[in-house]
Amino acid sequence: MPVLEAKGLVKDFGGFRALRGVSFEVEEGEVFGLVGPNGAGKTTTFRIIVGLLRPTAGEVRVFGMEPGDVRVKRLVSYLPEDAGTYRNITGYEFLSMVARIYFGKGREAEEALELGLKIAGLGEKVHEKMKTYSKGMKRRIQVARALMVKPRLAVLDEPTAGLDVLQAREVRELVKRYARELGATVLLSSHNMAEVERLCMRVALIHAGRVLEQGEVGELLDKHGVQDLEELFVKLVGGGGP
Amino acid sequence: MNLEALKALAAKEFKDLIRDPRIVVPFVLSALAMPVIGLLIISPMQVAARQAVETRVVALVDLDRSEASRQMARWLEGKGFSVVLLEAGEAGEAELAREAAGRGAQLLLVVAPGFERALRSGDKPKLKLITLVKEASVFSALGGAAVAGVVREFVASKLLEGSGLSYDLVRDPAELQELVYVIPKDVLLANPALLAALLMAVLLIPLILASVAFVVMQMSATAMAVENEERTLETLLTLPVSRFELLLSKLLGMFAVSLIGTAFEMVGLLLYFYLLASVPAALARQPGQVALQVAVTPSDVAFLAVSLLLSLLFMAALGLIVGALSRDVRIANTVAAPLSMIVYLPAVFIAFAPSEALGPAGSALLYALPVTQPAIAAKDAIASSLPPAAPAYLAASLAATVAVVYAVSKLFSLELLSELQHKLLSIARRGREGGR
Repeated sequence: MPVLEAKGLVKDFGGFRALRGVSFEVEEGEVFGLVGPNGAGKTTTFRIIVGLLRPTAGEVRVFGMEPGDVRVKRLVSYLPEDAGTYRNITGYEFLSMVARIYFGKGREAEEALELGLKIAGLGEKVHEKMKTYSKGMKRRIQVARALMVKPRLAVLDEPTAGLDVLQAREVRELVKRYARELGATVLLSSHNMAEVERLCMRVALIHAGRVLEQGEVGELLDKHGVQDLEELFVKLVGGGGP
Repeated sequence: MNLEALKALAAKEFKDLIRDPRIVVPFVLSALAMPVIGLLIISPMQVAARQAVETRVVALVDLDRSEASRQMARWLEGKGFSVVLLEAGEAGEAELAREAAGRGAQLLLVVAPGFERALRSGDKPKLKLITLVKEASVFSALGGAAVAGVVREFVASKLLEGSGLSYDLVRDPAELQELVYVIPKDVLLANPALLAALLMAVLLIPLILASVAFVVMQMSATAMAVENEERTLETLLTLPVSRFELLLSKLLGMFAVSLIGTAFEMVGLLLYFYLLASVPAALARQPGQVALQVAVTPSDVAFLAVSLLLSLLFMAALGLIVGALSRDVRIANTVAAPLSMIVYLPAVFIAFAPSEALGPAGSALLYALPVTQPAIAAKDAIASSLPPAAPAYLAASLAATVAVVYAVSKLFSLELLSELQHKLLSIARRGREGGR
């Protein structure tokens, strides 16, 4: 059974249709990428998957259950695209809070906190208030928060958005390493096609609320006779260039 | 219910708020402001009282030039005043006043011609007492009172000569003790100053409670708007806790901070009352006065405490709605400011309107609403007594608070908040376009 099944998702915001029948499946243990430009519908799709929004039509099943259910929330970690941090608490206090929410006060919570601190890798800075953190440090804390609870499905929306080249590389490495070590299924979105090629086994290309194509990266490139995902995307949306 | 998660989230809320200067500074400032306001009221009163005592130089313009007017000058000197004689000449009152001030006088007493004749014939003699002030103020005329008293005493004693009546008897012809009996409290107030102090408490406490409630609402609106502004709400809503638990943890964290803030306000309030009470307390030290027994009863205090807690919880929930619908702190504060009227207007009404003017229905309504209950209860507890239906009103307030908290927990979804924010922005945009 797939970890995640999205079938014919439609989402309207007033008179605007953000999703026009999005369907895809994510299998256990894979790193799946939802790729598309800004405004394509990636964030809306993710928000439906984690239960923050309800689809206007269509259906989502996560581990065979309705998203938003507290039992599902325990299995799924979501990293929003522009997730902020609390200004006046320290990174340590934040990670500690997350550990307590998921595991209470026992050994499991201590291990989760230890893992979170390791993933964040902020050294002594983790004991300072998060308002003093750089954008990259805040992202590391958020990635640590999402992965430290050993989710069965990590939903990461643009995990490297807004970061400089080095920070983005660090975060990519974190996701790759911990997804492999923890055996988690990862669903991530990005408008950076090269990034997705490096991280993901399978992808779905989304544009204007529709999935244009999906499958294993190498197979897709061969099927369309293109060099990379960027070229594939341009070909699919009909922009052939000069 | 996941208690450990609830505690962790409430602790996060508490720490994030208590370390935020935007939250803490207003509390500290209001605590500091109270005694400062007290001092600002007390200081001019003390200065005025001191000036009244220190008014010892009286400039006298004697237009009668009689033995009686000279006797009055000596009478004033006998009472400890220093009398400076001025020649009137052709000078008007304004010029005389300037000359008197130039010679160090604080008062100018003009004795009109016919002063002695009037005393002999039993008519009212004509005098004019001009207080010379460097600055017009509420207390600037106090200095004249002492001299006016001495002059009246002189005139009355002259008029009474040979009548066998004393000035004291004429001034206060009956042993009339004025008291105020507060019926519901079964208390006799003998000193008007104590009644004034009681009145001041009645007027101020509803307003102060309203101020505390508003600060709590603004704090919760700010705290919630920060979640939107800092983009932390999405993360929060995907944690494995229910929306009700999330809301409850927020309210608990905010509540703990608001209790600390209220404690600050109360310290300021106590200092304020201590300062204000120092004046009437000094006046009250007179023999034969009935002690002031207006302290509220322990059951009243318990009622007020529960009522205030419910009211603060209610206001915090209202603040959460404001904050949740605001994209940032600036919008939240802009929306919260006019909402303060729902707290202050009833408080002002409660403070100044006699309970009877409210009528049974009005009174019941104010008692049933969590926003107004502590104010009207505090007023009644001090000035009269709580109504017999008070426990029922407390239950009504509890029901209203629970209803609001429940409604807010339903609102606590990204879907609904996004929709409402979108609609509010559309309305605001249409309003701006319509205004052009």
